[in-house]
Amino acid sequence: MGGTPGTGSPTREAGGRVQPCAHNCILSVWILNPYPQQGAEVQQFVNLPQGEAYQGHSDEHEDRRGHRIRVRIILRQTIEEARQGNFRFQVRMVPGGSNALYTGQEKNRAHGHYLAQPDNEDWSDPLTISSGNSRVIEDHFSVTAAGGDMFTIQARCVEYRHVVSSIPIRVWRRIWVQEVKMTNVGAARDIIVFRNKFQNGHHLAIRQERAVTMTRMANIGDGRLEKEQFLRNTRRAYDGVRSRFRTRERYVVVIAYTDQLAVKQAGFTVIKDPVAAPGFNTSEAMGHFIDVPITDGTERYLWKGIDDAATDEERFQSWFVSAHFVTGSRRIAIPNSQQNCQPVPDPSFTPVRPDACKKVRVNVARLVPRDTTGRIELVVNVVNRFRGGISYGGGNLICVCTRSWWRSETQLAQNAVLIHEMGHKIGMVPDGNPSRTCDLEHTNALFPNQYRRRGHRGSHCCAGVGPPAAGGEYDGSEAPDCVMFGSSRQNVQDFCPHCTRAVNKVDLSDGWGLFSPSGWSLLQFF
Amino acid sequence: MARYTQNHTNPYLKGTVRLLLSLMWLMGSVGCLSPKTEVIDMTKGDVMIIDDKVYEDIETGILGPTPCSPQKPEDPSFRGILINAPQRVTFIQGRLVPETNTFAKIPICGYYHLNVIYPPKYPSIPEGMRMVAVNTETQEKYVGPVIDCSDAVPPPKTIPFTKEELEGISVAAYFNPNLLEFVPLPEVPGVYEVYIELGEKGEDPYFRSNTVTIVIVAVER
Repeated sequence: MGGTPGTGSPTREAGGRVQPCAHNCILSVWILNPYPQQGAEVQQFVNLPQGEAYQGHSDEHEDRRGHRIRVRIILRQTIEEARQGNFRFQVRMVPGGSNALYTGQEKNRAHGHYLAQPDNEDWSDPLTISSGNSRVIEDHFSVTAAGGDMFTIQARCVEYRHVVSSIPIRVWRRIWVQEVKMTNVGAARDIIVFRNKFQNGHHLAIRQERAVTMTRMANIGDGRLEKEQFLRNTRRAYDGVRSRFRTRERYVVVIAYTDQLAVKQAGFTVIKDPVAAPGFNTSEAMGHFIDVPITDGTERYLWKGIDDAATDEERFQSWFVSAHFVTGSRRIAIPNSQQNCQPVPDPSFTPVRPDACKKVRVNVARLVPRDTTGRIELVVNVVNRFRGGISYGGGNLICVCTRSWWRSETQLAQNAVLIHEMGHKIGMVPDGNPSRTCDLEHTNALFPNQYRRRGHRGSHCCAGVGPPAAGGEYDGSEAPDCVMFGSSRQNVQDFCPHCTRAVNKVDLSDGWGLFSPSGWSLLQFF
Repeated sequence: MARYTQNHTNPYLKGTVRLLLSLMWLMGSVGCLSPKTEVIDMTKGDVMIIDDKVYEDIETGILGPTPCSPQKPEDPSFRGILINAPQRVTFIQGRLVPETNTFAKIPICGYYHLNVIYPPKYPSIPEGMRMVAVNTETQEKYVGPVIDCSDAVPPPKTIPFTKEELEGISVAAYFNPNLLEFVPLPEVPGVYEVYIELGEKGEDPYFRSNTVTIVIVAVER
């Protein structure tokens, strides 16, 4: 059986007697089965279960999973060699000075997966070694669930109070990610930013399995059919590699890269009134163009180039519904609409994207015999918004879009979305509801920046932003300090100090259920 | 079978209703309707004839016309907000509707036709709206938005429309939020009056939609 010796020679407990170490005393405190290690620390993957069923599906020894710590106390000599009779000693676990603090409410919460705080910081009752030179201490030490927490196990000789420490144990969490990429989409080549963020900052190790592919869908909107189709495709691709995970499946998060996640607003009617239409005989009769801005306060872009369209006609039909010139009780359809209703590419896009159009140029010539004043009623389909990603609540699926606003999302932007969605996946941002399944502090006072709504859905953090301007909603111009702000920014990847604490403390031992192809309707956090 | 939902303060539905009532009278006279459909309560205002069952098939959250959307008013000068909603909604205690993850699904099918103002007062017209539900018994008021755009990727910087470009522009569109997704009503039976507001009372512009009454009823499993 392997083990790791304690660091250094016996030391004197503060306030204890000074004695030379001339007798048979403790040589070391060995953490049993100490692999993996990182530097001089033993890694304890606290969220992973112990037990035979799990054995063989993980690199970690069983001792390095779960909250229980086993140690072996080793003496310099065997009891028989030393001839000094039974050896009496005590043990305790010492938490690191910067460990997470748990509220009284958290400590009292019966969870069953971990002990919120070691209740064994005091020296134990004396234990005895009556033969040989070692003894294994089982079921005495438990670590917390908080990533980054550090513990050292100490043993001391009852008679001379020499104290020996183990090497430190660092609490980690581990999950796996399985990427599913649509064919021919610009999915992030690597997610190193995402992985490092959780690994280095929060002791949440993320293992990335080799990506698999699924059928491309040009867009996944708000419609039930396309969402269900997307989920079926993703699930089919995942099922092909599901055997990789077996019993660790509940610690797997599936990341699906999609093309676009645009939401359509159908039947959007813009009325321009008044409009003067020239009569048949005027000099302008062949062409009198009126620009109709597409807006409802915010500029709306035509639903153009979002769906796959094989022909110009299909491309036109995807955004155009109808156009009329109305005067008095007469309602005249704009004839030959594909020629007479021209989308105007927005020149402020650099480079110009031909499909990004927020104006339609309508030809009102040759509609009426004499110069007439009326109005244009233009009905179009528009983009309500491009979404960056979706985290499907209740399951293990995260969805990241690779294209929006008619351009590809950068790798950094995709990583930022992943960090945000993963934050939701592990329960961010605590909102004061004690019924939440994850063990986060749920005192609102501890999360002064937590908010709901204000134009965003789900529970988010407004660190660095503060309350929204008059009107009560954020408008997208904010510069947040926390990646859990309701609207993600590619240059914001860090959790604020409050959220950091929660990300570190969350108990991930429950993992996630496998997403269901019919589970599109589950909560969506953004 | 048709069910009659009472709507208040909605003058633009009157013409439609008269026409439908006349048609029903004609149909009823030749035995096409059951006696139950002839019971019409018009004491509180207008009547919109949409069976509650039709609302069950409404996909909440989508932005566009649905079979339950208010009819577009004939009057081109109409500016305002109209809503339709089921009259009676049931729920089973402790059970969520899988489609919405709320304890019941209550589609609020809305239509608006409003002028585009410059400079804009809200990110967009729907984002400026508030959905209000008032418990008729306790008078407790619950408020929430009608749309959530928090998942939006911010647009690139573009040149906004000028005041001249927006001169004479009005816009009409549809929305269909699930009331419970945005307005946190308690999971108990109750009667609610629901309406939508845009702007603040006393300010210009301020709009308030017609009011619909929704009865939320608990049923056994």
